[in-house]
Amino acid sequence: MSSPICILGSGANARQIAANLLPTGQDILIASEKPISNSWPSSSNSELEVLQEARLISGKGSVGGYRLVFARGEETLARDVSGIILAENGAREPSGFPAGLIGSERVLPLSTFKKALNGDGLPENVTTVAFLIGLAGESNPIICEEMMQACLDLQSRLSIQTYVLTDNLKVAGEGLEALYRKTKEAGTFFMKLTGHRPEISRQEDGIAIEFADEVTGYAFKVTPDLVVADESILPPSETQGLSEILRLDLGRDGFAQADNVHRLPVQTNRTGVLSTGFSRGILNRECLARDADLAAMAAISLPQKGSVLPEDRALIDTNACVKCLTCYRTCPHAAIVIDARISVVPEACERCGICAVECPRGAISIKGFEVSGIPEKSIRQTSRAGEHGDLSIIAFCCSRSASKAGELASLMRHRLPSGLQIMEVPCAGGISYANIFAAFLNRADGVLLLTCHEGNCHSEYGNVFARRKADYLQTLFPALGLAKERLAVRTLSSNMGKDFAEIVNGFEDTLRNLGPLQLIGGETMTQKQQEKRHDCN
Amino acid sequence: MTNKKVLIIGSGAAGLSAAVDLARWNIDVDLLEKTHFPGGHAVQLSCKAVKECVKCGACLLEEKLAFALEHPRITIHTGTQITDISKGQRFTWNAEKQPSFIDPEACTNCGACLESCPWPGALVHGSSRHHSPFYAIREENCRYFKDQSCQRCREVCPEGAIQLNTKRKRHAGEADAVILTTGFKTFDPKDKPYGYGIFQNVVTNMELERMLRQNGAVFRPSDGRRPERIAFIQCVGSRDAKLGHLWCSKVCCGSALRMARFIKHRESDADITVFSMDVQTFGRDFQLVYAAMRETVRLVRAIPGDFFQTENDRLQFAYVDNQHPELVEEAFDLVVLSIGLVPNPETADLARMLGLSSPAGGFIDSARPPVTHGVFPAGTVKGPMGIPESIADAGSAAWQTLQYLQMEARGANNV
Repeated sequence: MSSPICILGSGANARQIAANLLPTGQDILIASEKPISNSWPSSSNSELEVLQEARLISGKGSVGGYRLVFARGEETLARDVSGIILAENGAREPSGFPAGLIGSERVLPLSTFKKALNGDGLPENVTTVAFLIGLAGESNPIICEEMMQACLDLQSRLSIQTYVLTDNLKVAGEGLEALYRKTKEAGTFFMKLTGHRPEISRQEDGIAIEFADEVTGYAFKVTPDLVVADESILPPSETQGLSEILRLDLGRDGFAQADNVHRLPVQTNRTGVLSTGFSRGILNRECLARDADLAAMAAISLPQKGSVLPEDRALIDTNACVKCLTCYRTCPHAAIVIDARISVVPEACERCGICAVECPRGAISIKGFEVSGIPEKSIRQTSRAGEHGDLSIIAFCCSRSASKAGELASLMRHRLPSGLQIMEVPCAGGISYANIFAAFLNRADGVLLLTCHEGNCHSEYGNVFARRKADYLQTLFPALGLAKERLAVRTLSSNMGKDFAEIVNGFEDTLRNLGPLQLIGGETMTQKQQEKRHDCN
Repeated sequence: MTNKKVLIIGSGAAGLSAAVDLARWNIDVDLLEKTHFPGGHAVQLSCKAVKECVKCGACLLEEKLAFALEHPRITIHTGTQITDISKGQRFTWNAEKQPSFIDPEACTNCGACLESCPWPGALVHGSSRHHSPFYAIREENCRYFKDQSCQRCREVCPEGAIQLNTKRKRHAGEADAVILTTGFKTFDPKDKPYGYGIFQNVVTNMELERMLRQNGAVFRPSDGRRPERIAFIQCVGSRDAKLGHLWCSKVCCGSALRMARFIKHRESDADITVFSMDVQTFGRDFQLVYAAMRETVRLVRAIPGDFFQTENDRLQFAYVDNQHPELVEEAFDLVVLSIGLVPNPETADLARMLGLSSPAGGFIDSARPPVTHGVFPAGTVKGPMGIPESIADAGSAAWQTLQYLQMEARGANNV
């Protein structure tokens, strides 16, 4: 029996994932820093352990075998799990709280207001309520739905007049446009402000909101008994800590999933760690329900230890390795683990080649991957390259994007330079300095590095590494008597056939202006390069 | 799981994705596609990255398509439409296969056929490198099928790959479960007074997507020149009570603003205005993108009207500028209508045969049907979704299908 899968979370999302997984015979460990209620699904053929108020303090290992250590009060608890699912609840924070109203009892953040409306009760003698939503920053469909539901309830059940002051009303969710119409029909007054913001002031007898209607230009003044302030949805409070312990990339918005379409829906940069629900972003009801299914499917699809042969992935030569940890730092998939020795986890390695190229000792090899030169057989000639008078271009193309774009360009019958040769690489991050020099020594008049767009790299930073290498090399070019323009980096996606053609043809024009490359002292360079082979990598 | 077969109807983002997810579980998949090119709307969209990816997800289709075409458990039937489907012990279905008239074994994608064809829309080409053959003949536009007077493509084809005598075929199969991914239709803007179909330089966002994918640039249909002033008009056929379309199409704000940024990046002189009701959030970096966008693209909260064509095939229309409440008239070189997503009318029959509820002519009810049905709708057949959301929804449907098949298998064992 394989070890359990750990779900980090305490709410409905975590519960639903457990309910999906338990019947498949998968053992589950639920853990959360928060208290957890006891009502968890159970199953006859699998086990469920619940660790509440337990904080993750360490997480070593990789897919198929993690050792997690939790702190609970004074004690520490260690658990072995095969995979980890982040499924925490999102956090809310008041935002756009009108500056003039701080300290007023007449202003409530949306969540507090909803609680009052649905339970504790509203203050007495409330006849008008104004909602200020999406004025300080852009709102989202979740907040807008809650706001409209509240308005509808106030209007139709309690006969309370509601005003909504907003900018862009977010209705991009199932049923929201219909809800908007219904709310308007129930009597809610919607005012959309584009250019300006309302004047809000505290007066002796209450609150005054003044604004001009943008269509008519008329001035309006609303004096509500209560103001409901906007809220932001933030990443779960545990996210930052978990990302450090589990070596996860965060998105720009701080949620535990890099802003990269290849991670969607529930993957992270680490095979074996999944991010779901509010752990990965601001999701509405439908998306949350889906995430529980997607998490379950991804969890039982995780590769088993030993399912991938080590020789099919990056291999570290322990004799050459000096444990400098460059590979550990640069691997975007956190596929390198440190135990008594440094080793690669084959199930997590994506063969991008970044480690092999970055290793200063040349200690890492990948089958079929050339760090120092250009193997003749890996070059794909698009046409009769190298014929008399043709300029020779070697284009290193990321196999996932540029290489596919090149094939599409041929299919779409765009004219391509006759001297274009394509060298497909698994990831642009796996292009070494030596590869680029070898291309010039192979009589290339110019070298192109064609990578994925920023933020679209399967290996997260492969394209950034490639650009950095090119930038650096270009600083050396003048000393070598090479024009900087002979090396260029461009970004492409797999469906940009026309752009591929424009880029390579434009590059050919540049080279034509420069003329063919005359490598003075090319021989010496070869020798030197071979001597310094490892330094160059 | 072995010996199980799933029928997936529609090979767009959701259908392809569900096929890929199920094949990983060793389930056989028949993936039906009514056109000659798998991938649906999504595979026709352009990449709108400006150095940095804008997370539209269009590129994901290429990967799914490559995987599906190579996977031994997935059979893609192009040009194939279901004629009837019913459930007994298993699902049994019949379909009609419309030939593409091009022999995939012989065709080398040289394109000679397309160049030789004088009839608009008769020879069509694909949009992905995974479309092979890259060309197909559409019977309804081809002269040969009217009066046999033209066979130019057959004459020029150096490989003898054009076979105009190929007959339609009947096709039948069985399945243990069905995933319905027939997607959406784009709203026909002829029903709105924007002059679409009358004025040449009024195009739809889908047409602009295809133009950008083909050419990497925007041209005016009337004269092939680069437009200087471009207007995008949002919510054409969406959020429209008169039409009974009480939904936001979710994807058009993202598509329009991303295309606007893309064009602006390539043609810094382009003067772009986006007319909308409310700009909808898209992508997790929306706040940043939106703030940057407002510097370069003019956003106006208004729905314009009173369209007419002026000199040089420009379009003039009126709107109330909300910043200075007054009626403004302006002329543009190109008008792009962001047409909404509406239900695919072909879904209604299938839904009826499969026992799914769909409000008259509407999207399929997204409340989950009882698992015992063995029918799982996914993607935009349930309502507007972007590519990433469709893919996620398909994953969810694939998971439910797996649960259903397992449940059925257990049931059979218990008997």
